[in-house]
Amino acid sequence: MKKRIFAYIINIVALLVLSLPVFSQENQGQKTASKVQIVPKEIFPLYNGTFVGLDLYGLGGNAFGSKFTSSEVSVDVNLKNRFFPVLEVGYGKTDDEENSISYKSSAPYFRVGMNYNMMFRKKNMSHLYLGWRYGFSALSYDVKSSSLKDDIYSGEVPFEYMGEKTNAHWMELLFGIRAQVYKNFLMGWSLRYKVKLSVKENAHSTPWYIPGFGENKSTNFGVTYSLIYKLPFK
Amino acid sequence: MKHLLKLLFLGVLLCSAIGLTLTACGETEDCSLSGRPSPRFNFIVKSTLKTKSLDSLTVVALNTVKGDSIILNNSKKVTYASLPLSYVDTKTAMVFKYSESLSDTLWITHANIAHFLSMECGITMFYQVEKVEHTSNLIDSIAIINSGVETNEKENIRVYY
Repeated sequence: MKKRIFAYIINIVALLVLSLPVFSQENQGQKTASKVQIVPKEIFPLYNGTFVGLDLYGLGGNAFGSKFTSSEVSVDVNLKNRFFPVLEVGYGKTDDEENSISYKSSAPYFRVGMNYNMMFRKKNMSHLYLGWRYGFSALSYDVKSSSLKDDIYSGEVPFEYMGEKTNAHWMELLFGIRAQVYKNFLMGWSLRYKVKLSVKENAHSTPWYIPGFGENKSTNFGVTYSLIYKLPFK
Repeated sequence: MKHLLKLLFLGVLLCSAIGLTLTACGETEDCSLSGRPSPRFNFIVKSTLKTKSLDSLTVVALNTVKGDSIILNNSKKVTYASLPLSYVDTKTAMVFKYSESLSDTLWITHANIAHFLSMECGITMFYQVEKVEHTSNLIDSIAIINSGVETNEKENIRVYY
């Protein structure tokens, strides 16, 4: 009887001893799992889709008190889910009259640049981004005014210059966000800081409005609010 | 994802507000050029090339709206003067009176270039000074230093005594 009890105890101890490493391994495994979440690294192909956007903010500029209206289409390509080379093509116009001066202009503009996806590790279309653009516009404008009166010497000078031609170059730094709203449809906005590089002046006038840049100042701020569609083909 | 959507819609509201604010509060227009640009005459002693201080100077512009108009009235210790040119005529005449009995007359030939600055600053007149003729009662000679007149700050004409 004593032998049976002893053998029984030995068996239990042996069982416990043999099973200890297994428990210990399981515990270690649980500890490791709780400490480090192993996330499989997403590897993105070079090409991840093409996006087409339409800016609505420029179209509604008049409603917000702007003297300028513009419409703009953008095309960008997702490379490695990190880099988004962008081409933006737009058309801007103004028709303003103040202090007996009227100014009219309408012209296309172009921007090229790149967005950098700040959330490139995540596999979804929504993301925050930083970016830059180089902008260019070749334009013509009409400016006319009531005559310029000479209040010291006598006489007055008529002022009317039609079809004045010029061109402008500028750079933009921007921060933006785009979010998927339904399947391939996204919305996005961007805030832009624009810096003038050069604007050609004419003998009788300095261009006042630069399509895509805004008023002819050394710096401008801009906003875009876009509807974006991801083209269905890969 | 949901956070981004919230951000997006918040951003739409914010952007509208920011856009308006930035448009309104952007860089203010510098209209310093919108006054009447006039060529600046600096007075120099020919022998020393130092600044000439005229004890008294009265400048009379000829053929103005009021006939002949006093532009500068018996100013003392004058070392320079910014004097207006005509918008219409391309030759402006003015008399420098140093005393009752001593004066010089200058005829400035210039091109007039009306220039639109912006909707806020309006239109102004720029000039291109082409030639300056003068009598030589006190003036020795005159040199055109900067022919383009777009501000009142830059020296355009140097008068040697």
